[in-house]
Amino acid sequence: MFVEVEPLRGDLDTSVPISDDRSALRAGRRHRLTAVATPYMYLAPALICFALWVYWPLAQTFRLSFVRWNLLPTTPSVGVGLANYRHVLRLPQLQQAAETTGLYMVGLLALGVVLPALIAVVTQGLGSRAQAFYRSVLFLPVLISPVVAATLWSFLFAPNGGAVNSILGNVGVSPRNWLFDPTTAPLSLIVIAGWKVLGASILIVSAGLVNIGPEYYEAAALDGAGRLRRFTEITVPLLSPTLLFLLTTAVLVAEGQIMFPLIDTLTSGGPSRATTDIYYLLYSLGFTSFDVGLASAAAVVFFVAFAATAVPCLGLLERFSRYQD
Amino acid sequence: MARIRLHHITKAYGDTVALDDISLDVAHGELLVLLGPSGCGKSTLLRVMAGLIHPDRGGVEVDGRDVTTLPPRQRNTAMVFQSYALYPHLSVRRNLGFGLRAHRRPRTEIEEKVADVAARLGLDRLLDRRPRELSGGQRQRVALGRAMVRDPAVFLMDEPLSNLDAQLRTATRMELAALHRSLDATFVYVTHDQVEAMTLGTRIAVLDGGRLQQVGTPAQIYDEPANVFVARFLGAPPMNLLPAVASSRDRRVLLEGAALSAVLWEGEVAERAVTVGVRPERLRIGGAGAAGARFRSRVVAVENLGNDEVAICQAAEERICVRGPRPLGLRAGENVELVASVDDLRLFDPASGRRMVWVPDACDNHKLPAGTVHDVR
Amino acid sequence: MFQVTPDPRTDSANPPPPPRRGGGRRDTTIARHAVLIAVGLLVVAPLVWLILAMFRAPRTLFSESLPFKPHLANLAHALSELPWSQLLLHTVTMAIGVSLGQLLSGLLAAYAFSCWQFRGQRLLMLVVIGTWLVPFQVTILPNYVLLSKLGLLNSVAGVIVPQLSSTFAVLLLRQHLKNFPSELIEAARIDGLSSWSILWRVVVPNLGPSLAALEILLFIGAWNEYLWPLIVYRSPDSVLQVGISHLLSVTDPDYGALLAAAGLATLPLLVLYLILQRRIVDAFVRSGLR
Ligand SMILES: Nc1ncnc2c1ncn2[C@@H]1O[C@H](COP(=O)(O)OP(=O)(O)OP(=O)(O)O)[C@@H](O)[C@H]1O
Ligand SMILES: [Mg+2]
Repeated sequence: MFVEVEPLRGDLDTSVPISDDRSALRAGRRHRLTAVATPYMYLAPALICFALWVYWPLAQTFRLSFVRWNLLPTTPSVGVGLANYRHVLRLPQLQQAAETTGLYMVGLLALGVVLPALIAVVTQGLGSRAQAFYRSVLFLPVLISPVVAATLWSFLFAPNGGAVNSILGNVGVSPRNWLFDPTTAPLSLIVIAGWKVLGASILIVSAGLVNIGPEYYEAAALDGAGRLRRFTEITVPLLSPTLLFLLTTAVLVAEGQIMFPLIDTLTSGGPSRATTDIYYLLYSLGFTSFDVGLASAAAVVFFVAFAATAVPCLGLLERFSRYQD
Repeated sequence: MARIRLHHITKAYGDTVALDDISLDVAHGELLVLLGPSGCGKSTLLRVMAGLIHPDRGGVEVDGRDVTTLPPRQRNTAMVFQSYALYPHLSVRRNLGFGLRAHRRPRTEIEEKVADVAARLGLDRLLDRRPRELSGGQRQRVALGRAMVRDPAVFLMDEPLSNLDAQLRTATRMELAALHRSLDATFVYVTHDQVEAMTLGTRIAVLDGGRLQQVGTPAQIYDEPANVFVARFLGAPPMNLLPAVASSRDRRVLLEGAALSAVLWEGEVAERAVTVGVRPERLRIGGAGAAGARFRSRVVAVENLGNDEVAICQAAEERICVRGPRPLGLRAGENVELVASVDDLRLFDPASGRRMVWVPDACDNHKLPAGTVHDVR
Repeated sequence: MFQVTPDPRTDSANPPPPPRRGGGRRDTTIARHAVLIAVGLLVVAPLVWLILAMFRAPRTLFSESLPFKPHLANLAHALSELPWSQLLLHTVTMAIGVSLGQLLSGLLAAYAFSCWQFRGQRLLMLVVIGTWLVPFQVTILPNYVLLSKLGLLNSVAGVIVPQLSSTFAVLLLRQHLKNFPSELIEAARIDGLSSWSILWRVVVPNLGPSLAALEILLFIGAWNEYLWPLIVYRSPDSVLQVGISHLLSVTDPDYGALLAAAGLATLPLLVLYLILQRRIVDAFVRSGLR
């Protein structure tokens, strides 16, 4: 007769249950509790800060968009339903500001993503010495604050004897008042913002290219892929997280963080609102119109539009960075 | 004193079950080796013992005390990691004393113990170096010393030798064995190297897919594998396994396979399929008339191991290996009959994979040998 | 007769010559340099202009003649037009306070995100990333109201407090901590350290250079910050950026003084950059790689 053997010769006496030492159990439970709470405690400072200065104000903006109020603590706010929204959508400035915003975005996309990517790709593969030198030069505008950049460029764009006019004068362009001409003012601002982001973007794309590593290209070359194929099948896909990051920052962040100070310090939205984008419109509605409800409703409308643009970007970005982990 | 008992430990990461209902009893002073292929849950089990991971179900008990939910610092265990995990920013001296400082021991005691351990491990002259200024073997020693300084009741080691080269590994293995003998502590040692497992362990626990396959002394694990997995996992090359049919004729049990035939012991058995196992070093090159099992095969290749030779043969559909002192006297292409004595055959149930033993029919069910479970006739 | 077996070392073939580096492409290399030099000039020229203008005489500010006799009148004007000691004190306090606060809160949050698994982890991560969806301009008014209720308007503290945590710092540090060897943290747990001590005695010492680099980036960001001071502390003596924007906002600005002031306001960062250049650029570039 064949008999199967018991696999476990562990001398294990499982009949005796684990000892029922209550004090140990209680101590254990306490530890488990603190262990559960620990990560939340580490998160608290950052989250409280975000809650207080981002999410709570956001909720307030929503609330205020349904009232009429003039920002004075002494006057009460009155609920007006959707009136503020109707008002906002009929604001004459809104369409112009939206168009200007679009123009800025295209400009930042060109000068902060496309051009830097092209430059980085065509200059890729220089020696590390040369690269270190160019890097330290290209980084410089990052150090320059938007306000200082505004100062500097208002001097260069000055109508009488400014460097831009005199250099263009040499090639026969008649002098202009760049920042006070409705057709050139928005473009001038784009040039300034582009000057501030161009070098930094080149650095980031170049680093992304270095990160790809030569072995992919070697493998592709062995597979018989030509230059164009290598570019479209290796460079572009492996670089896309970096490009996406640039896209998100250049288009979504740069306009609020760089363009806004430029507008505020150089043109105050003029001339004849030609440089007013949505950000600046919101700001001036809030601080010059003293109509809190209207400003808040505009803010809500803008927030919704902004989030609708940004969520896909951030989602893609998060997905790409997940792949890299 | 430290006797560790694990009760029905289960741990899952999402869909992967890393540990599946593991119960284990480690006596005080033992060196238990956890052996198994990559990803079988060895490290996870060790981390459960250390308190770094809480099991989903089940409990850990040390000397009768339930420590399942205790944090590592209250467990009096030390651990040696595969990567050594030395603190890169601290000198060897401070690495060694780190645990004692964390437990707020007095300075003089820390210095004494560090000096003592450093002397024992020959680290005296490296005390002021940083880990990155050490060789692999020296790092391994520091990791070991960091565990020893704490005088723990339990040493947990996760593949501590796997980053060393072959020679250093052998030397360090012997030192570890000596250390275990000299310390009054329980060791749990993870490895996937069977030589380490066989030479170091007082007992070996074989894991696969998060399940315990067998627990026993090295000899038991090697000679009496509980199932096909254990039989295949140990040995170089592993145990040969071939399908056959068991039947009886004239009150004798016989085995018949595509390329094998064997006459076993007296007895009656209904015809059934079995898996026949035999270790490569137990096979001999056939002579006339030898009793036992005979395997008809053709040599495919001969491998030279230096001291031994391994001949890889084709027996019908199966591969079968023979190992013996060099030269074996076999050449590729040759037909050869391999012989094994009946005592060296191991029989497994093809369906469950578990090993079977023969119980003479006269013996009734009440007197089954210890360790047998049920009748499968 | 004994015969010595041949020395196996003499047997080996001559090593193959080292592969030539991809030379012979001199013209494309020159073209690459040309492109980068052109871009570099474009980037640097305005800065050179700024520095030259700072030292020109106020009357010849717009002339392009070189060389010229350096003049300090612009600097003198700049120094007299703005309350520099106040501005510097405020700006330095703000930049240090904001950058250290962001570093610390970011470090703690990143530690939680990368070393624990807890309920709501993904949601809380979205809460952090989600702050990028809320442009500053959307929440200006409620923030202004809140700050005035807290009595923080027109003070440096009021500029610091709302900026104490930064999404960028959390995300970057989370990336660093994810790459931190987990066995090191486990070893410290076995050695008996609490999670708080592990952070300060194991994690921070080993992240030192990355933390320092991030701190400098945050410092630069805080130094150049314009939006929050604009809302909270809108007076000519608040911080440098606001002070300069005041000079700029008059209808016919004194460009000499203005440029000198702008140069002076950037000087501390330039000095920092000269000293720690490689570190800063590395940290910046790495923060852009995903
Ligand atoms: N933190 C984790 N998250 C998800 N799955 C995990 C985690 N840790 C371990 N696992 C899974 O649990 C199983 C057991 O892992 P474990 O590290 O214990 O294996 P191991 O036996 O130590 O393997 P090796 O010999 O390769 O070290 C594996 O399938 C692994 O993928
Ligand atoms: Mg492991």
